[in-house]
Amino acid sequence: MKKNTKKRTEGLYIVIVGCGRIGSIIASRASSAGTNVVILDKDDNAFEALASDFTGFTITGDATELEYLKEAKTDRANILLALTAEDNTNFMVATVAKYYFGVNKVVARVNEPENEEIFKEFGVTIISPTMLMVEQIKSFLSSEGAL
Amino acid sequence: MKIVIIGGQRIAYHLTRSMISKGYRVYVVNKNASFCEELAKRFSAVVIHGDGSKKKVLDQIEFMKNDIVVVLTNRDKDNLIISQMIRRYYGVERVVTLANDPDNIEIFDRLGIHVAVSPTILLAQTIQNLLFVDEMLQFFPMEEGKLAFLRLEIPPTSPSAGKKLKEIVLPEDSVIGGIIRGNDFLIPRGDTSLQPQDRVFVICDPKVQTRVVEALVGA
Repeated sequence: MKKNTKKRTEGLYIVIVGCGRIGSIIASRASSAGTNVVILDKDDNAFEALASDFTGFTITGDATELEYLKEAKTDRANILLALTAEDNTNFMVATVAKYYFGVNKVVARVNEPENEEIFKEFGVTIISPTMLMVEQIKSFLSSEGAL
Repeated sequence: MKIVIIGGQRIAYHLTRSMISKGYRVYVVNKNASFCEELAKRFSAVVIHGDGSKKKVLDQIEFMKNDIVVVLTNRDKDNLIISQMIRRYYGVERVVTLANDPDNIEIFDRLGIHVAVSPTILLAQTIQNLLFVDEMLQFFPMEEGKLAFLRLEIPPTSPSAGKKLKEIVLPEDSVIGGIIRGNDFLIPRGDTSLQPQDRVFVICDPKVQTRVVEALVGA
């Protein structure tokens, strides 16, 4: 059992869409942990934010155009992370990854809390920077007795 | 029943005019303020200024299950999320979605949006019809272009006129499905011979359609 888990981790393949502040850090960390990473961004300059020891692949292109997700071999990915600042982009990338390419685990950044419901409807795991901030601030305020 | 038109510029404008003149109740949702103003001035449509991919904007429309919704923004990712929200939140099934990128017809279909239209594909089909010889009366691509359905008229000059079907060499990925001769419909057999003025119906792979035309109509 243990051996199996190890094996899977070694061959893990992640596609990350969006090389902004969050995407670039995650891609750099995953790459230095030995995971195979492909990161996409429509802006070529975005990849400058990657760590110098990043060994994954970068693809410049709009991930809502099918050819770029094909180029990223999304059908072979174990995990896809849709991390752009735009919810509508993340929704399209996430649902295409899940239902067209059959990616098992799909995680999307959802910026507008009102949008969380539609992502959940389509079985996409969500991460909400807005709600994470709110929770952090709330716990700070309650520790100060303000909430 | 009402018709809800979300996004789009010229198509949205002309569609609103056409639907209102046919007596339908039309709702329009658009991000562009001056476009909304113009529309509200000219037509008796209900106009909502706002981003159609926001639930609180969509909530202002009292959707009924039998409404028809047309999603026309110039970005496919917006069209996708809008169409999915309308289907899931309000149970509306008659949603027509614009695919700006023709590749997205297949994607949308896979994601449950079965009525996607692509201007590029419509134009390409129209051009293709113009390119073919006059004898080709009609050409219907089906199943996203995987299959073509041709209707051809046999001219007296056709290399196949007067020949039996079993003597005519057709490409492998094609079959003659029926023949109209005068007022009669014939199911083709190997011994059936083709006559000038016969109208022949062929089902084939679109890749071999020019060879089908050559064999039945002539070069």
